[in-house]
Amino acid sequence: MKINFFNFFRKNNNTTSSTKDKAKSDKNNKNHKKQRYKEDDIYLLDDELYRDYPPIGVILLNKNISIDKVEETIFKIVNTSVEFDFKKVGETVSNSIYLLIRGPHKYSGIKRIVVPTSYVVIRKVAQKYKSDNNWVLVVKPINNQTLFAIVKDGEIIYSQLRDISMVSDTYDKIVQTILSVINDARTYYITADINLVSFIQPQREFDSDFIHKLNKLNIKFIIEDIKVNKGDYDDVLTINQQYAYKIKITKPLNNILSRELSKIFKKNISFEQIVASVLIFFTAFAWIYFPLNNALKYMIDQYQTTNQQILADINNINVSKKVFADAVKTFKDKIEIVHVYDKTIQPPPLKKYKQMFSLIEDTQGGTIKSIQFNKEELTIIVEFTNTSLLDNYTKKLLMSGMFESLKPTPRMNKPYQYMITLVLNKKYFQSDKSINTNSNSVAKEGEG
Amino acid sequence: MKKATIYGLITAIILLCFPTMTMIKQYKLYNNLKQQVQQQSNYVQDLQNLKQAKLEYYKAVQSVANKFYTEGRIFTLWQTIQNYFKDSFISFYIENQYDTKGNIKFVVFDLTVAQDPVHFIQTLEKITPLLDIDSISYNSKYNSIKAVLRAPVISDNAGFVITKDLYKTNSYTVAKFVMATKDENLIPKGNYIVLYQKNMYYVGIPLVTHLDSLNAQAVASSYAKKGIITFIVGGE
Repeated sequence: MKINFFNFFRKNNNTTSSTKDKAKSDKNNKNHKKQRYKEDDIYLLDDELYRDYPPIGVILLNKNISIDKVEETIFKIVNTSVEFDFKKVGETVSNSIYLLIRGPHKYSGIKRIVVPTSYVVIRKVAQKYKSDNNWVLVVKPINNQTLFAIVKDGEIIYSQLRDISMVSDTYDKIVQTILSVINDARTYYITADINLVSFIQPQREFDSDFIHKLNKLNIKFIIEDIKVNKGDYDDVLTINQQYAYKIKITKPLNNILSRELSKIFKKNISFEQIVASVLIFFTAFAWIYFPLNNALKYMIDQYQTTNQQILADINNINVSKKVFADAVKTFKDKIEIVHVYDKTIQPPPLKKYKQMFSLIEDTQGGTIKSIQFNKEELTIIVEFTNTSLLDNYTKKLLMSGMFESLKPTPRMNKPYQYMITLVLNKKYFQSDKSINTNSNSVAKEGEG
Repeated sequence: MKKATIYGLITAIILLCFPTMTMIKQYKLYNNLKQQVQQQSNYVQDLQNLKQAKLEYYKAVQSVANKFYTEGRIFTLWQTIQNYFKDSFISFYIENQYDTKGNIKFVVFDLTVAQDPVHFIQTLEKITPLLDIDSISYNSKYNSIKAVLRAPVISDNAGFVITKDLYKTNSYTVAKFVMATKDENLIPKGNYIVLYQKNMYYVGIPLVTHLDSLNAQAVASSYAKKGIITFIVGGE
């Protein structure tokens, strides 16, 4: 694991030469308002706690204050209503506690700055070799990790925290790591050779093999036991507040979002990065999605409309087909009826009826008063002055073969009037077989 | 940033899958329907069937044209009767319903003329298709015959509207033709409507009342298409 633990202290000192570094540093110091802190304003924080719990400041409160009051008091001090975290990190002999505050910065009430202990130690080493004008690699164990820092002209130029233990890892690995750090440093800042390595309280003795390896690489080393005293803060106090710690101006929600996303992606993600990523995501999404989606929607609409039209057409076709089929059936039914008619209907025996009525009207001395005719029988009311004439008349009718029988002929109330009722001979009055097809008057007129 | 772009593109593509699937579905449906419509839109056979059926029907009708009447011919028959009997024509009363015997329909009507039976039948012989005589009542005193005649009918749903010239009035009635007579006394009593036109009384059963002239013509035509002989009377 590589962590640029102190890089934020050196933002403006990333130059290759010490002269440039110094000149730039001086210029920056002029540009930024320097603030001198008293010793009490500095709180040295354990390195690990500093790393795990990036602070924005420390406040000193009475030890006996209740938790509710602590929060209230902090609110008063920071003079803001935004959310923040706090954590007890130390106590003083004078019945006070140090509370580490984490949250949006610019709390006017916070006077103390927080500095990790290692920083002070390395700074002290840097000051020690200030006059040598050499590049020095400082190696400081921090539990199972090791802090590597390159110093020159009394300034910390470059730093890395590596997952290597000075106690348990092999010397080979330590040597390889030293070379790797130097190589990394060259990549970024340092062009000159590093020929001195300062081991701060390495917590193990170096064997001859290790020393031989370092000598082989032409690296001198020194083991140092540097402790932080109160007076050592003095150097720290000259640090511009801007470099003392770096807090981004972010809102609590942004912090939470960044923190949560950082947890997910296991990587530090700033809010700006999130916003940029989201914007790029939506831009890329929008460029592809909306035009294609609209095109697809248009095509779907077109197909749907066309399909509906086709369905309507199919429906119409089916209706038309049914109409056709019905029409064909109707015609066939009609043809059937026509055939039935043709077979069944026989021409009426009008000629025979005419013969019959001619025979009836020829009374030979009688006078017909009325005739009632139907297909069963014929009734004639006739006036005869002589009964023999009546007899002849009825005899003639019966002899004609048109009638089957003569019903009793009653005499009417009027003198000489008789009612003759004859039963028709149905066989005789069967249909006329021949029809006069030439005189189809109604057919012709009807067609017209 | 690259990842955000890729994620954006992938998300867009994934979301585009849904409309794409819908589009594909609609396209498949379109293809199916297109094939279906192509298969079904082959009218040629249907038209030929219909044409053939029509042809056969008209041939059949032609072959028996001199044996039966149609609704259109019933009206012509009445005109023919008028022409043949001329001044001896008195009245023509058509029965409201067809008389059906077996599968055959007959139109039955009463004809009253001033003729003796022999002359009457002689005149009937001139009319074809021939009319059958159900009964004859002859009264020599008035020299009048009232005959019940019948004729076979095949419906052609082509009735007639008798009245061509309408009275100018606001309200018209369409009536089903029942009777035409010159003798007012022969008009039966009942809920009939009478139109007097050119020395003839037309007697009918009211079908639709309170019509304007255009609607009356339309209604009369629609009844005619059902095979009913109608006439239009001004007023209710």
